[in-house]
Amino acid sequence: MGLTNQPPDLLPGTLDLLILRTLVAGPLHGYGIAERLKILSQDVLQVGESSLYPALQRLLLNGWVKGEWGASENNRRARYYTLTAAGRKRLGAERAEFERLVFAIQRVLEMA
Amino acid sequence: MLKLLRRAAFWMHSRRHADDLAAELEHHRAEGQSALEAGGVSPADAAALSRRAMGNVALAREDARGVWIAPAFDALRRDVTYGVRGLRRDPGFAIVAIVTLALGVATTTTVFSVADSELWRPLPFPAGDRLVVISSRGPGVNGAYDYVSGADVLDWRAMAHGFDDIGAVGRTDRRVMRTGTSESVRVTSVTATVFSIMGWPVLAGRLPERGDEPGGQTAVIGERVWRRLFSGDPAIAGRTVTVDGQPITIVGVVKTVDGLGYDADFFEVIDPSSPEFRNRNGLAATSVIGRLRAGIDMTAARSDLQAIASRIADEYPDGRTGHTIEVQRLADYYALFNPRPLYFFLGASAVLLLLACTNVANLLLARALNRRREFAIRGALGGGLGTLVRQLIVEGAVLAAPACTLGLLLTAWALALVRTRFPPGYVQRGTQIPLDGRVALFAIAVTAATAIVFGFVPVLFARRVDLNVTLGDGGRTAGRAPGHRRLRDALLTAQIALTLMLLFGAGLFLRSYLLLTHVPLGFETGRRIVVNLVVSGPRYTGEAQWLAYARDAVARIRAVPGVAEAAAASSAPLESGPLIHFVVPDRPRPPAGDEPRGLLRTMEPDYFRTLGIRIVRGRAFTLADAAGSPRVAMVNETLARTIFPGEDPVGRTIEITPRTRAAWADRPGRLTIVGVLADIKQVDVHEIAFNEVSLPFAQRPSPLITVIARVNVDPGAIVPAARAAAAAADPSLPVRRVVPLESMVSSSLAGARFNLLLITSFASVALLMACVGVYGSMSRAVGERRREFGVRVALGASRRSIVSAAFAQACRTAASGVAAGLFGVFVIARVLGNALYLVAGKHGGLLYGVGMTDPLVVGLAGSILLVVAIAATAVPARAAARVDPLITLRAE
Repeated sequence: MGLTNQPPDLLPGTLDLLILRTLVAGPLHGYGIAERLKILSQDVLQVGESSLYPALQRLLLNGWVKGEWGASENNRRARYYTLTAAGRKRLGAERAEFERLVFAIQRVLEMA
Repeated sequence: MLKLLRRAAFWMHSRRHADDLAAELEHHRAEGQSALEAGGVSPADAAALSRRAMGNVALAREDARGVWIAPAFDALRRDVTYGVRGLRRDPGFAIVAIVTLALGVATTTTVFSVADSELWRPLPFPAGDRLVVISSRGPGVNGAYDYVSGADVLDWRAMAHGFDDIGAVGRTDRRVMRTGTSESVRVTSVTATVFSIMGWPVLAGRLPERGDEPGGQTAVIGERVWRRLFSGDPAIAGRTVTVDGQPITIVGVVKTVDGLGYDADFFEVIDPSSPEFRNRNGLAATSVIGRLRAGIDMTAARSDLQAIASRIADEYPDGRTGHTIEVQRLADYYALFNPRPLYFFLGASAVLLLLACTNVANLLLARALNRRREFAIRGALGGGLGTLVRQLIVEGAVLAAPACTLGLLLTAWALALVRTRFPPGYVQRGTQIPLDGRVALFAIAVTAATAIVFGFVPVLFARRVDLNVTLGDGGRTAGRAPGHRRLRDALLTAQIALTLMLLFGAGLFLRSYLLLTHVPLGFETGRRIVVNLVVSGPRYTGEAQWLAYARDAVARIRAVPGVAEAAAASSAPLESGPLIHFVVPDRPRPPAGDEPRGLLRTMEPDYFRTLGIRIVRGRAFTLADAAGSPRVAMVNETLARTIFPGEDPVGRTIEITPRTRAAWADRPGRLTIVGVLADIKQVDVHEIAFNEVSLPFAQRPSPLITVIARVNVDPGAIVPAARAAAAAADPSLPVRRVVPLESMVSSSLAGARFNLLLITSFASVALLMACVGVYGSMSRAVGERRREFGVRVALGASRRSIVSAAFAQACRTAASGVAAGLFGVFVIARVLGNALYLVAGKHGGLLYGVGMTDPLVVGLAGSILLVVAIAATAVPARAAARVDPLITLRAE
């Protein structure tokens, strides 16, 4: 089993939030999303395809992202994911919720 | 919602999605490889490394797919496959269970569909519940229904507020229509308003309009005669036919409803302005129908009409003083005379369904017990209870689905049979019974629930059992857990009890049918034929012509080789006749309407000898009792006994009262009784004897003529010759019917025979189910005690004692089942009371001459069931006797 298949434990639902966030800047393909998460988190978040692709399918099903086939920078056929309006709204909501949660956890860690 | 659509879209393009996902994952790997190459790794190593980095691609794909398809779906498909496979492995079980459930569904659905269309379904007319029949009854406790004059109908129509419209239906006559051949058709005169009230669909032509009425020369015909005599000609409107010598123009064809009266061949339109119709004392309407205005209460409409009728009666005092108006819904008016058989068979079919469910429950239970080891292993391997229950529910459904399909197919077939094979008069709307959707749903729900609930409930027991024990002894002792045994025995007992009840019912019907076939009829039936004739038309205007025709017909029939004797009458035995009211003039008159009644029949002197009817006292009619001579009568024994108790009726006088306005039967006047004849069955084989007044045919000829002939040959063989002879009397008149008298007796019993057939088939199916149930249950019980038997044999028990041990168990269960069934029979007998008889304990709608707890039938049903139960145990018991102690003990 490859190392990349053992992502650090994420809070439930956070992967969706992170994927949505990476797409704000513009359309990305699956590999691009994984790379972006890895770079931005300074190698802490290494999302394996076994959780990335189901998550992407889930987002597709919910209508938060759209998938379109295009050519990648290496000239390969790749599916590019774009944030939809519904996805943008969802991102806002989830982000607010996440921040509330993190804040709460921090409060507990500091004050308890 | 949108999500559901997306899911659906995914389902439609699942292939493309899979390809997309594969391509995407490959792209992911390729990008990874490129990244590695860019970092200086050789292409071959990079490919391998990137592949390894990908981990479990198949799982990733499965998970990604799982997002779209709830994994439950896949599991469901797996369960269905598994269930089907399981049934295929055990075809005996599958076939028995499916057929049993299907039979249960089919009988219940069929009987309910019939009952529903007869008892509860509204009339198939637009707003059929607003159609009413208005009747006028004479004074007295049981005031006779009276004709309504056309003038009254017109006044009601003009003055009553509660009705959209009111119409008059006149008498129905048999007349002769000539279209190349002579056809006897039933002609009913109706006012034009009747068509709009009934709302019959028009199949061709149009309905009568205002201008059509004068002269009464237009008619609308019914669908049946249109198809039969005019081969459904769509351009029939305007065609003129000759009916009783009069030209009548057909303007249209209507589709009437069977079994609701009003289904004549010809509807002749009444001219409401004719003096005959307007006659205040006329007999224009035998029945008056109306359509209530929407929202009008029936009782309010009735009291309104009553007030109007009373005002009219005050104004015309010699008319219908003291009459009461009755308003009844058309559906109620024509409701089945005796709905009890339907309720009874509804109950019987419900018992059968219950029995089917019990049977299948028992089978499923046994099967679940056999699979106990499988369940235990699954449990030991970590299989969840939820998964197991879900799988068993699916297995139940797999069983129920074909059972329901088969059941509904059987129902459709049975209903097709019922529509064509019901004896006439058994049900009113027999030809139009639809398969009832609601009851089909109900029956399906019940069977599905049985299959499903009894499929998984035993597992809940099974799970409680210690896995070690079950697995440790190879599941051999599993069935001996007392809980299961008790449940299984209870089901078997219930099954035997229910079967006994149906068997007992069948026994009652059989006994009462046998009694019916031996009822003394009062006349000879063998070697007699009945020829029904009717005269009408311009050449037969009065009694003299009717009499002449009847005598000619009798002479011609008597001349047919093989005919020994023949005589004319107004009707044959079992053919009924008009009812008259009579009084004894030298006694105080009962209040109007409460006079005794009797059935009127007229006959030639030879009638009694021809039919072998006994003359008890006095004399039979003679040729001297002719038109001009003193008027005489004969009465039957019942009348003699009830009206002249302890007196000799011969020589006494009775007077037919003029108040029944029937056409030819009501000639009032005094008659001298000259003789008493034995009671005969007048309407039906299982009738209760009632008054009969007989008159000489010559003193009161009727246009309905029935010739009865005694023959020396096979009566069936002489029918064509008799028909030809009768037709020769006047080729322009139709011969209505020529039949052996025996077949009339037989058709009088058709209803009873049909009831017997129904209940017997129910009982046979029940008995078969019980057989299968007992056999299955007993073989399982013996199988479970195999080891015990083995040990016993090893310890020196004889084979005989083993067999008797097995039998003892069967007998215990059978006996308790029979006892429970008998208890059920007595409870039901108590609850039903005399509901199955018209006259308590004697006559009936359903039963005749047999008690509800007839000891012979009880004993017979009980012993048949015991014998069958024990016979069904024989095979398993022999298996028990053949147990080889070495083999069983080695298995320890």
